[in-house]
Amino acid sequence: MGSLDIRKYWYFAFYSAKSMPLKGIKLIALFSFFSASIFAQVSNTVSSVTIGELKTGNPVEITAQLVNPLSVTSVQIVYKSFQDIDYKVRDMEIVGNTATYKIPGKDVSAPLLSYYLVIRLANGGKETYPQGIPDFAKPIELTVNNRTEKDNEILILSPSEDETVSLNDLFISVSLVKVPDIVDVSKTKIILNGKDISSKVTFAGDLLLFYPDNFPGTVESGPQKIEIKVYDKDGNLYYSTAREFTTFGEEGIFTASKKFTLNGSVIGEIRNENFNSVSTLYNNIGLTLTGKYDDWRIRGYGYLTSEENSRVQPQNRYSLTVSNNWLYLRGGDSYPRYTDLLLNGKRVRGIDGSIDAGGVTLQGSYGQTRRSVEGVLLETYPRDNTPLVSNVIMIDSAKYGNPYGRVEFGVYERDLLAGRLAFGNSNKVQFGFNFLHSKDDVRSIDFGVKPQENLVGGIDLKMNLDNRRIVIKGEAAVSLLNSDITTGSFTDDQIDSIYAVEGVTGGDAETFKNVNRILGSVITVNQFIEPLNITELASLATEGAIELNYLSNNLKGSYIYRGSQFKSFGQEYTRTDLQGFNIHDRIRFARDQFFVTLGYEDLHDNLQNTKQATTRFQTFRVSASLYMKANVPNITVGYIRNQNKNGVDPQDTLRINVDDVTNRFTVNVGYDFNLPVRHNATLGFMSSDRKDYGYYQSNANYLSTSFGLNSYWTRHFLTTLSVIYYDSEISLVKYSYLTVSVGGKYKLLQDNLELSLYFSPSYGDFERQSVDFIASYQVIQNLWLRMQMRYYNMSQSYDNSIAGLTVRYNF
Amino acid sequence: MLQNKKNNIKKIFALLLLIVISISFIAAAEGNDETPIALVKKIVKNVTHRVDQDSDWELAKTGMPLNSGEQVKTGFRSLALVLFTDGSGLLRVRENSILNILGKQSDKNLNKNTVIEKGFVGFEINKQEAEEFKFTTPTAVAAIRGTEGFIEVGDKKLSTIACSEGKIEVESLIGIKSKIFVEGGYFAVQQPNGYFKIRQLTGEMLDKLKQTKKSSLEKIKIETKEGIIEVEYYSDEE
Repeated sequence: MGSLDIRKYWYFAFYSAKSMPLKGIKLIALFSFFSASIFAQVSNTVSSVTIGELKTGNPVEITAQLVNPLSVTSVQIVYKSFQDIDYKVRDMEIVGNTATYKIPGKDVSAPLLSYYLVIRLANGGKETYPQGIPDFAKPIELTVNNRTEKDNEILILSPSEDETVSLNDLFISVSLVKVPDIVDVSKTKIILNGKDISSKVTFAGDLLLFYPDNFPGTVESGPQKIEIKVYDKDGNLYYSTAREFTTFGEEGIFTASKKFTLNGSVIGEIRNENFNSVSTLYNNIGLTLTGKYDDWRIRGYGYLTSEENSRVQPQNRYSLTVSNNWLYLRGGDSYPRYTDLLLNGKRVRGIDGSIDAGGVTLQGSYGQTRRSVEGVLLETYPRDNTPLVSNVIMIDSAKYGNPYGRVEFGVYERDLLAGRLAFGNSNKVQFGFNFLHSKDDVRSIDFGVKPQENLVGGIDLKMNLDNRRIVIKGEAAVSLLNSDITTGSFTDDQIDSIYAVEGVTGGDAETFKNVNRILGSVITVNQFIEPLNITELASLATEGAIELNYLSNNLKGSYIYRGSQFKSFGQEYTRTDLQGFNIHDRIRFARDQFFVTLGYEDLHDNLQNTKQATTRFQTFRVSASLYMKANVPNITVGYIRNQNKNGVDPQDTLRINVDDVTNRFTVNVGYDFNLPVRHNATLGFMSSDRKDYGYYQSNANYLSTSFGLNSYWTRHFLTTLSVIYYDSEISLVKYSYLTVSVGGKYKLLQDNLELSLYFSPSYGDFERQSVDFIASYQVIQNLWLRMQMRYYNMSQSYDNSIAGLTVRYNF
Repeated sequence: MLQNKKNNIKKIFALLLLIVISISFIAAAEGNDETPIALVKKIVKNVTHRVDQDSDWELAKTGMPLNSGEQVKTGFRSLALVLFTDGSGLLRVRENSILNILGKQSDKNLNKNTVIEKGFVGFEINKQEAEEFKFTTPTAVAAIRGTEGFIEVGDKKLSTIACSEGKIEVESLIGIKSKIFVEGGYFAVQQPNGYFKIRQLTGEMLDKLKQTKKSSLEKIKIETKEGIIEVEYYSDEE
């Protein structure tokens, strides 16, 4: 698989201007990015990633297919938008062989969204998708479309998105009052659950109306989907949009005397995996419940799997949520959200809740973020014959016969308590105090090392002014970390013995004892606590940002300070030892058809002068996006320049010189066309060139080209084609591969049966053949059966296969 | 000669009749092409509508389109949700209210004027760029740009305008005809002399705003020895 295990992302690459003639550009066809896109990258643990439609402000679901879920303990997604400084890290929900996460709409903004996955393995290892991040690969960058004119022209007035409506009250209404004159309203099609109901639609000028009452049997209770297809006067598709909603009949209501509604779904899966000649059978079952009674809402979720194993972190999931307008209470597994510095998106098994008392908000979370996993005792030693190695520790001689033992270290149980008290209205002005205390339980295992404890306290402020045209945010937090609480806090005798030594300076024993008593009530105080000198601001973190939305500009400026020793167990991926600012502007032109984005970021490290030299990180970003109303391709062109420099003389033999520059160009183009059926296609290029003039001289070049085509031959049959070519040279080591993916979906038996088949071979330095077959059948209303078979042939390695059956019932 | 004259008059009369009928059909056909400016998204209990002042009130139905000039009336403990077809906003017509929806097309813009004869109407209007959006009561006119709030026409036809978000320009049509702005978090009460008193939203007003949004009618039946008691109440929309 090549000398280096390098993975790349298939993304859009435009060759740097000096190396690609302009005529090459003209040869490039323009295609369009549409709906769910399937990405096949080089990875041993993730076979593909499916991403929903990316549009500014819309939430998007990301689903990763796992090759061997048995070997995976957790999957995290790491993502950020173009203008963000930091990546956000979130736990993905693993169900069967898929890991999913829905990125909130507020985190999705044009022009680009970067992401990668972090997969933690059962054997203790860690992988990324694409592999090799951050040293040998870069995150995947996806184009985020802005809401276009067309999105605002076609209005589905009823039903609303995700609305639940009774069959008696249901009607479908679409308004085309804002479409341009080239549109022929009379040609508009409405597709309900795959069936064309346009002939049953009433046209009132530019308003389309459909009343199911007039056509009994057209709509049943349950989840529904409508698609609206609008055509121009020549019969070409102008635009299409879709909406999902749910209907219920009289059976959805329990009795007339109680307005309690309950619905949910049950999903069961049985799967056999053959991986490296080892065959494993496992089973999962999941249950989701949603209930409503008056103001109160109840949600239940449970997932049990045969993968549950006391030697790894929990695989089962369960939670019960009760909420209304002012109260939220969740027991079981939850992902509390506080502030970005404190706790955001980490799984906590316990209790999570909040009370909103109109102007005062109280939020609290308590539970376990990590369960204990006992270590393994390998060998015991008597006192006089103990080797001096790092994994030989003191053990209970009464229990194990000898006072010392060589062990494989286990994992301590980690508990967390967090709280926030806020005053004001989150939509206008709100000020909050927050804290977090997290501690390893020393008694949870016998064979562990360095149990830790963490305390964080902070404040936050948010102001929305002038109808959110001005948004001001600020946050500050201070942390204390004890990296080894095994011996507990200092005792008074120990403090006396410290000051009994001649020449000890820095206060006196009584002051120390008082500080120990006060601070010792909230955190263990001993020689392992840090920082020792809080005046250095090493454990302080602050962020401030202001956003202005005027005159078609979205201007944002932010400042961050993260001390080198700031640490929060609720947010373990915060970048520390960093200070600087970021300024970013997105400007709209021509009624939101043309966007220009400019950004500049200037950061530096070594805030506490603990490093040999201070490195400055400067990034300049620019992009331009065109979303034309007419039948013209959408195009986004981007350029990023990143420079890192620490000013150390290259001749300096004592310090390492950092001096590198990376230039990256990207082009994404998209087009919908009819030839003669509808096609959605995407084409893109990405080129990255890193020149390292520093000590390591690790130059790197990447070129990535991708092409994707979805063709809708009939209402029942669609095909998918994608081609990815990747070529790189990192420190003179070359690596390249070509992946082709061909497949299709076919519906039959009145759309109750859907068959999918995909074939994806890879050639070059990475060789693999994979075949994926899926059959999905709706047995009766609300009951589905799904069968999936997957086969991988790895070059010079074992063949792997997965076969599974899933049953799902909605009620 | 007299007979010829009579024949000519008959012919002319027939021709005129034909022309009038044709024009009527043409007008009717054009009327059928007119896009309704609103539609009734939801109805609770007794809601009626009529095409114009001279027509009879008829029961309204969910999904019914409304053209310019049509009126909507709500009865006791009744509610209608009216949605504008250009996506500009939503009206919540509470009980015992009458309103008249008027719209005028100007290029691609639809200028709307909702006339509230009496009653209580809550509104959520999206930010208007080029279009006009007005509320007219017997005593005031309010211009909306992107606002959430309610308008109430009291017993003496005086108007109360509350704004939870955005800004409303209000002009009195009586007395000294003053003009004011009501911003988010405030409400204005019209005085008989045409002045407006502007105050910050009180607890009572905030409750009213909250109640405006409740449009799901719930019912509880309580069995007692004397019989069954039915209690109806509005809850939040899902």
